[in-house]
Amino acid sequence: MSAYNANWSLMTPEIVLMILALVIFTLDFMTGMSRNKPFLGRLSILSLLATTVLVAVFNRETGQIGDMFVVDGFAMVLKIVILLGVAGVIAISMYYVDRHRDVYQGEYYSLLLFATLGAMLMVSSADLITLFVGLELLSISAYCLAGFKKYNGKSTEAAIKYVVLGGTASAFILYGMSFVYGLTGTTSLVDINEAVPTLFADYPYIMTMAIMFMIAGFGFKISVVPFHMWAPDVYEGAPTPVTSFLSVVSKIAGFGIVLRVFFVGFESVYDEWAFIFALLAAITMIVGNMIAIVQRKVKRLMAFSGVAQAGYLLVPVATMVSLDMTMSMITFYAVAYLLMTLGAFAIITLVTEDTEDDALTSFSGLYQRAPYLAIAMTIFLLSLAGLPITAGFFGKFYIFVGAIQAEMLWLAVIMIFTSIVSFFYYFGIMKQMFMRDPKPNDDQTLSVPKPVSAVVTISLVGTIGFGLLANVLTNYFNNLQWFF
Amino acid sequence: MSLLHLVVLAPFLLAILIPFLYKKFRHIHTGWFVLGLPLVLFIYFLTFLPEISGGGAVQETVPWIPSLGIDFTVFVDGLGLLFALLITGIGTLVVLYSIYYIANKKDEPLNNFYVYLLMFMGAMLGVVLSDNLMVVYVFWETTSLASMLLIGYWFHKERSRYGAQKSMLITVFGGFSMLAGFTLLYVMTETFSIREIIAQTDVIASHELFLPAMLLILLGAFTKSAQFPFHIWLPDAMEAPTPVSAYLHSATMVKAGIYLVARMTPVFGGEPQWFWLLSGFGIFTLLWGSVSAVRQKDLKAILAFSTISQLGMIMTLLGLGSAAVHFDLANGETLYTTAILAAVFHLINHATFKGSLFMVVGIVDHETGTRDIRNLGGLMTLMPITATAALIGTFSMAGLPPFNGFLSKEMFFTGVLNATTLDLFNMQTWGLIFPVIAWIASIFTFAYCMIMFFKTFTGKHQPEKLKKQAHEAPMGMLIGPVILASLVVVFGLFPNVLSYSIIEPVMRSILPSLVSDGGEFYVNIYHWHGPNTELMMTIGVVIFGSLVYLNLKRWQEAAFFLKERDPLNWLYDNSLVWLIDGATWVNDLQLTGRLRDYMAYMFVFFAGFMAWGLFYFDAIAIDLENTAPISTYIFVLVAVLILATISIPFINHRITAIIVVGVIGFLLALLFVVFRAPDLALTQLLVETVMVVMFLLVFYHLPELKKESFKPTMKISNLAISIAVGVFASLTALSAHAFSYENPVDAISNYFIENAYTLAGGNNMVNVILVDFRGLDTLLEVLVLAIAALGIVVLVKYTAKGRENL
Amino acid sequence: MEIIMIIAVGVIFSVATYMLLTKSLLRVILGVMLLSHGAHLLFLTMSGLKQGAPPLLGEEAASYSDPLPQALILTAIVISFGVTAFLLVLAYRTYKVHQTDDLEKLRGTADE
Repeated sequence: MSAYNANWSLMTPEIVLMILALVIFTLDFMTGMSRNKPFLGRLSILSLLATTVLVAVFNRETGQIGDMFVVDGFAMVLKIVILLGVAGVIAISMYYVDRHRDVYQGEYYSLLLFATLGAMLMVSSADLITLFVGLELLSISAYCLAGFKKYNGKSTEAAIKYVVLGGTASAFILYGMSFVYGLTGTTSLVDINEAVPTLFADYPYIMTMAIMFMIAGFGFKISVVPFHMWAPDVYEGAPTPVTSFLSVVSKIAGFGIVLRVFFVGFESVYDEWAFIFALLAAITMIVGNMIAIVQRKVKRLMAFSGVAQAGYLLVPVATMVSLDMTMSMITFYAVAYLLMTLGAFAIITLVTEDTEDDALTSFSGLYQRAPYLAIAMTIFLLSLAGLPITAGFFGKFYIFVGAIQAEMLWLAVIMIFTSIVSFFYYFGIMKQMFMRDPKPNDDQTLSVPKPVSAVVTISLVGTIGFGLLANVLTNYFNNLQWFF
Repeated sequence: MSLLHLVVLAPFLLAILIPFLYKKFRHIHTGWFVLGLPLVLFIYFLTFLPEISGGGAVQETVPWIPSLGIDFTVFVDGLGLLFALLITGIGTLVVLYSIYYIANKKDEPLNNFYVYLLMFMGAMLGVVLSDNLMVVYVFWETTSLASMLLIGYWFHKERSRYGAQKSMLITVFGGFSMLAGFTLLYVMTETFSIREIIAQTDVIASHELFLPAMLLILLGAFTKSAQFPFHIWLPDAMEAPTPVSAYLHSATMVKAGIYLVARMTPVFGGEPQWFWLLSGFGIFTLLWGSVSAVRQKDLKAILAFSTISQLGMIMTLLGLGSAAVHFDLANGETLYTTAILAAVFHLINHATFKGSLFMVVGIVDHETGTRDIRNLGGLMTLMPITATAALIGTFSMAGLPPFNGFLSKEMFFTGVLNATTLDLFNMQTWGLIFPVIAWIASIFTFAYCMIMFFKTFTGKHQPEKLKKQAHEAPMGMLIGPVILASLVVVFGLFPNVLSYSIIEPVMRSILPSLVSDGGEFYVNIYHWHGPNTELMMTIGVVIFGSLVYLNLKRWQEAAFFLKERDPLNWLYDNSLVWLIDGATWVNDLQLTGRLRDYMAYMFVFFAGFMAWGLFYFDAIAIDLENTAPISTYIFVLVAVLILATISIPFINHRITAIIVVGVIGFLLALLFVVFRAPDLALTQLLVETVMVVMFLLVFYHLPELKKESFKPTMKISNLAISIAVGVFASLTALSAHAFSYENPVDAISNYFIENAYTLAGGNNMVNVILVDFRGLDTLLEVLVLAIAALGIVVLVKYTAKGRENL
Repeated sequence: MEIIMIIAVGVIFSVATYMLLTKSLLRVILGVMLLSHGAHLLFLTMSGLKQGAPPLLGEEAASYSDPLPQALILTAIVISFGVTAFLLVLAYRTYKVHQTDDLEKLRGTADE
């Protein structure tokens, strides 16, 4: 239990990131009120990349600090995914902040970095309290970011809804955790795992409640049906780069904590909760994909697409055959999800900003205005829909094979059918891009700023690269020690 | 990476170059750059003929994702080679034709057209030449995508977009199903290699996933090959430029389903389900397509339905022939293999005559500006070459001698007649249906062939109804149809050019288990079989078909023939509408945008779940024994607390509300003192004081509270939800309380009590825990507070210039 | 004692829920505050109300009340303070932008 003689060097990346975030905050403070500070964005990206390197160096060995903070394969991979994701988000933001003078850059970037810190702690924590504090760190930063356009009605409205609902979800988590603590007398996930089998036999009601409330709270964070209502409103109101942060980083970190809690803390009672996840996955896939069809605004559509994707990600959680396989499936899909969603959001930010319109029709004639972006967007959409030869296809395929091997045929069937439905609305965007003429008052050619095109290109290369060479990643994942 | 892989990928590589070539050589028609590739590939594939005819096969492997057993294996056998030759051969003619068909105008995105076309060509080669099912799937979806893009090529037309979306949705649906089927095969056999799967047929046949796999794969094949009821996308796909229709939607892509069925015959053939599904759907599609074709007024629509019907016919033949797998027939037994032979032969014939007919229709459209048979007529003298090609094509399709269509039609009749003698799968009772339906369908086939030819090329010329002055097409456009038409004649007169060079190897691929090593199928195609049943049937078809055609006027007045749209479109269109309506309903139900509703969902879930759990686990329990004693002081405190709480909703004055909430906070602090938590009490006091001050500050800027005016139903539901939350939360807490005393847990807290002083040197255990044992968490907590402060700063901070108007 | 406390917590939860379901932004904030009050009280109640002296080692008692839940509640009080403060200012901001505190009118795009 003691943390005195622990190996604190494991935490180097987090500590460095925190210092860098503070440095950026101070730099903003020192450079006065002048608005245009592009160096802050570049510095933030550099900080994130530096931290990524540190993660790759210091988190290679597994280890722990007083049962609270652990470093293992899972933490390392997810941290790298999160850090790179935020770097992408910041690259997109640089373009966005440039156009929106009512965004305070220093606060904006440092909040993003603090949120990243929260996400990193979440995936690395092995203790309910640390985990909760990390989650709050991420959530509060996200609340602030969602309301960052403070003179914009939609943005403040989004923030209000997000805070009130998010606060309630946190209360659910806390409520569930307090039951677990009350019965086990510990907050350490490893100890909980040892204690729960007998507790489940003795107090089925309390344990079921505890698990259910935690699922509800976490489900809110990863926007799983029926806890998804906030997603479209908040996604729509928040500044677009923040939306991409919510749908990429926040969601992946949320998955990290779900996996950590349930595969470390409740692994011994897998049978008790697996079915709940199967049901959630099923309704999430169905409802998410259904509602996405009728969305007329691209950010709302992406919100539901994100809901549906969360559903696919839950399938392997519910259909575990071997822990290593499941983890490798989920992480592969998380990587694919990062690439395709981030790339799509880079293009969405650019297009909606350029046309000053967030309806689906803002994409009309994109192929004529910017052919490269249109083709890239098509590939991201195909990947999201799960068509070859993209990373999204293999991600979904692994999950599908896993579901069949676990003899959960009905889940596999739902997956196939909802994928077809999803194709319907992704096709809607493709139709706008390729089969419409640009609107008369839009520029005939869309100029692509460098940071955005960098994000698009990297995501595109990754999406196709992991589609063609999926085994590079899976081979690596298969040999990883996921949980220490 | 071998030459063969390069061949499959060559179209993709060229496709990447096309946009540059288009920009660089703007005045040269981009088609000329493309033309060479299919021609070279065709010649290259021809060089395989001797080896494949001799019974060999060529195979090259590049590992792709070995961990999943996915390799890019190019495998050339009879079946693959036949398709490769069709793809490249007809591809060459189509590209040549398109150069004249699509003019190199300023606003014509030719680069797109050829990129899509090359993409398709490569993908189609990939489908037919890959041994690995996953690779097949990848290329399969690529053909769907290319087809969608080509149908939507002239996207300014609403019909094009509609057709593109329809074809995409239906074929992608099939593709996904097929992928699921492949995956099931993988789960059963642990391999994606088609040949390895065939080697494990016995394992599969007895597996419980056998039937689902078969159905899913057939879904893929049926959607792609436009079998009833999935055929509805094909007529709408005719919005594509005619070269595309000729290429994708009659000669190659729609035959991918046929290819898949043929490939899978060794795996699934011989099972009654396979037999019935294939021949049942096939023969019904044959009938449906031919009857529908008669109703059409548009030449391309006639061809579309005719394609559907002919595909149904090939499908039927593959189904009937699959019975052969069931019997382990000796070499030379032709009773059921005839059906396979007919299928392969008709596949070739259909590609030739239908390809030429599409090109002919394209010429008519191009030179007259219309495809409507009501406006056409008398073009024979104006376009003699085109008319000749059309005559050959239609007569062959109608099954008249001496063209190749006659031969395959006769063999088709043989096949269905043989089916009646099959004492298997209940064929004794149902077998007769096949020849009857086949015969009726053939009558209609004959009729629409006659309509096509005579309505267009004979009769009265009506120049006033045409958009252009009709004249013969340019030479380049005629090359394609003329070559194909002459092939129709050549194959008709000398069918045995094909028999051992290509048909026999194909049959060997479809029915590998029926030939022993070194043996071969007996393939001999000839015209005169003597006055047998088949000939009588053909004569009947001609007589009745002519009657149908001659009495067309009377027929067409019937309401049935006035409607051109396939009735199944109604189902497709409406199911989309239903889907959207349903989604809108779910959307409106959930996403009201009201915070109140969202909260209500969460709380209903909260209370409902606890209620369910309480009763399901029978967990209601109150433990009255192990409780702390109640002092009057505490009792008064709690009573005041409850009263203050209850009063809050009724307060309509903001200052009062703040003060009452503050009172509750302070009462809480008092309770903390009583329950021996001095640190908590201190914190609570501080926080509450700051909070009240903040409230007062902020409320100064906010409007006065208004009395809530809800609808009564809303009010009741709010009340019900909140009471339920309170009651069930209390019940759960009581139950937890009761249980925790049954079995007190030795908490880790003892650790802190014992070590607080020794390890951390502090007497206040709570403080020690916060700043020492869990110092990390506290640090983070400070950070959380700091971030909240940062957020507040952002929200209230003014800019240097004061408020910005944004 | 515990039973009375649990009932009090139930009442607080009910009122908090009711407030959260109202239209006025201010009432919602008050509801959030009440909800956190209730949760803290519940946590304390569940950890046992009668065991020993305050968790201060100088008290020389045979047993102490459980210090860890108290530490947790302290954390929770502080975090909920942060969130509530942020929410308050956000409400102020919302009112400035929308000129209303009626949540019925904050329905974004639902009607479009």
